[in-house]
Amino acid sequence: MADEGRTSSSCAEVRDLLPAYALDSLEMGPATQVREHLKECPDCRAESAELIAAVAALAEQVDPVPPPP
Amino acid sequence: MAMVQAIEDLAGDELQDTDAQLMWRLRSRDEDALGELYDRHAALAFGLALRMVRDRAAAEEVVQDTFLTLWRQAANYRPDRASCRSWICTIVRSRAIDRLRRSASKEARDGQLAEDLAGLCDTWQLADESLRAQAVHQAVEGLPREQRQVLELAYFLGLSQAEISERTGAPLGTVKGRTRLALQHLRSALASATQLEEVEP
Repeated sequence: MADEGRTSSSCAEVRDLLPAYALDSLEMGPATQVREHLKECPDCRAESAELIAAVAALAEQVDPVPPPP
Repeated sequence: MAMVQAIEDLAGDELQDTDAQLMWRLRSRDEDALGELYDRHAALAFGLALRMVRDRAAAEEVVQDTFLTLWRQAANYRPDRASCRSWICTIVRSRAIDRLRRSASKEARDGQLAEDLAGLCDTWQLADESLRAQAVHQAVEGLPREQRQVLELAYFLGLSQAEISERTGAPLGTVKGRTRLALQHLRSALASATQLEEVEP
């Protein structure tokens, strides 16, 4: 249990970081911390999935531009 | 344009595969399906890529890369969880950020993107595209100016929280708080727009 490298973050800590994580806007350290937690926590994973989808919806603000053929 | 739309409406479902059906065909390595998805979504992808990387040649590469990724990741697609459109927007943005941030390792980001796609869940997704765009516009415009700015800097410029703090002069904790509030607002606005759509056919 007391595996040094695996001090898992609490859900509360991770929830705070998830919005920035979904935006791909976290620094490397906290991003790794979130990723490790998500591997083990289905609840936070579900929350993260929805936030990532909300981020995807931000693309709707952009006008479509046909790419060159 | 209206004419084309009218003809497509008349043609109905039996002639035009839905995005989900096309994704299914993609899984069985049907290249025509990739072409159809490209015809449908390339303008969205190019528009977003261009806004982010601000260079036509680079944006074209992002779009090529996006549809290649879609092809490779198709086996992980679950139509009951996510729309193809959300997938495409997520891939475009990740690929554009790869170009904006040269430092991060491509392999690590590839793995991350694959996980994000497999998990992506947008069951709130509005069926009607114009309603969806409208809901997003309203949600973003309804944000306080500071929150909107943080969202723009993170989403379109691909800035990290620390970089946003540096650029705006706001403390890091404040930036994180604004990011959190902005995304939570966006998510609940989209969720309630979806409920409205279900109530009012």
